[in-house]
Amino acid sequence: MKLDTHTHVMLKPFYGLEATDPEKLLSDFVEYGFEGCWISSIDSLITRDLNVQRVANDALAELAERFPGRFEGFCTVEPSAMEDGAREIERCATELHLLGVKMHPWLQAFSVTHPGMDMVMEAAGSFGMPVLFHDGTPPYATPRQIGWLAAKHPNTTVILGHMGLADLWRDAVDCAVLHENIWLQPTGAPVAAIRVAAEAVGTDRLLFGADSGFGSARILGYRLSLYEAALGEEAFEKVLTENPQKLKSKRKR
Amino acid sequence: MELCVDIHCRIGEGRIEETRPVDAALREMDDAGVDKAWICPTDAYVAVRNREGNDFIANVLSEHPDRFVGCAVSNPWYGDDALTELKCALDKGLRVLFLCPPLQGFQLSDPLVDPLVELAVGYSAPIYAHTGTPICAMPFQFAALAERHPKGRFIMGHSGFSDFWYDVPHIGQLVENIWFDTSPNGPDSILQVISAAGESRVLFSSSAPSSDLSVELDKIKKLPVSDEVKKKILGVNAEALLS
Repeated sequence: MKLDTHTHVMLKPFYGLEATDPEKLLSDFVEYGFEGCWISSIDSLITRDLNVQRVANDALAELAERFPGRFEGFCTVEPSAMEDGAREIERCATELHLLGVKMHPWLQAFSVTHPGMDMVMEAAGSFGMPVLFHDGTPPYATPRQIGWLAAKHPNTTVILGHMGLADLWRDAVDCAVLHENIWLQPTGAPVAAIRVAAEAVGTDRLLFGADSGFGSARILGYRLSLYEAALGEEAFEKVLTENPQKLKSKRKR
Repeated sequence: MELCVDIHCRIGEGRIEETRPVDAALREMDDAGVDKAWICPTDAYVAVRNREGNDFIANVLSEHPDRFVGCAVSNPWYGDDALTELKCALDKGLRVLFLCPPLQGFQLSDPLVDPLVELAVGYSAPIYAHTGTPICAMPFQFAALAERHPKGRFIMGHSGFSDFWYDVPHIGQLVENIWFDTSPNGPDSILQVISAAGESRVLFSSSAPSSDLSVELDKIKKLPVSDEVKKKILGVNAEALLS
């Protein structure tokens, strides 16, 4: 099963883009040979209100239920909500059956050193939920900062959602070498960097991500070609199909 | 057959991920159907070993004059020596000034770079600068530089990829002496820039070997724009910029 493990949905219009039409999104994916995707909600990333995030988390669960096997949801919480945030992760795990947690230190405006992040990481880890981070963007979303948090919580899987982007990919690769609970999703990182990552870390902890859901589906075709050019057909197939299933199997139901 | 020009790539020896021998570059270009490429040396030569970098590029040009356009490197921190080096490189036939603030250690809006820019403008050499790196190479910093030098023709390298795609269309509308290149931006970001700046100020680039030449070219060929617009992006605009 081919999966994009980095897709955004929007419950409301965002920055000139329409709210997500899930049927259109899935038909776009089918056009490029994908069967499903892992989704998080933009609505949750541009608020500091846990109540807004609860509504968005519910919406992700509804999409996963309406399109079984096609969508897997990643919930988002506000770190400064502390225990309430951790309880929301528990609710997302046990009642909404979401797969993981998505955190975006840049858009959500928090530092990973916030004590609430320890609660997020522990709650996620206790349910085997991977925590997908936006990374590659100073000042709060750099790979070394997130690597520090991953080292503090070795039983929680961390995904670096952009593998450091164009400027910080060397840090991201090094963090994955140092910490086995870090997975790399080189969405937006250079082709040359993906090759270096595959050499240094291996391909067992690499994921395909398109950062899709904004605008047209053309980004899927472009990113597919870049990953394939970087990895070659065999390794690419593994990254695209086997690795997401392996990560999903860690989720404690 | 239409002319196809890749206006930004690296060539030569460097760290393993940057190394792209001349014969490999020519093979990639032949396979993809790229007629010409604007070439820059690898990181160490951009940062400090400017003379060696420029001589290497000049040597490649002498061997393949029809396939390459040379980009000159000169670190502005070398002061008068930087001016001497740039003049020397342009006199040897290199035709573009390539600036890379994260490697050369300055901010794009810093007047430190003005003397080099003025010299390039005097030679009618376009000025290509890497952008997209926070603090030192941000699109609005580049816009400030371009506005200080209205006679200069500036190319916003990577069009602010990745996190500055909000800014770039606004600059495209406001600053008329900036052109924009395409790699490694996604198709929708490129369409935004075409819409904001017009198709005459968008230039195809690969950023090889950091990205992949054939994938970058295929991306442009698949854009939902007319063949006329693609022709301009793929070669006509680049030739006009050098004329």
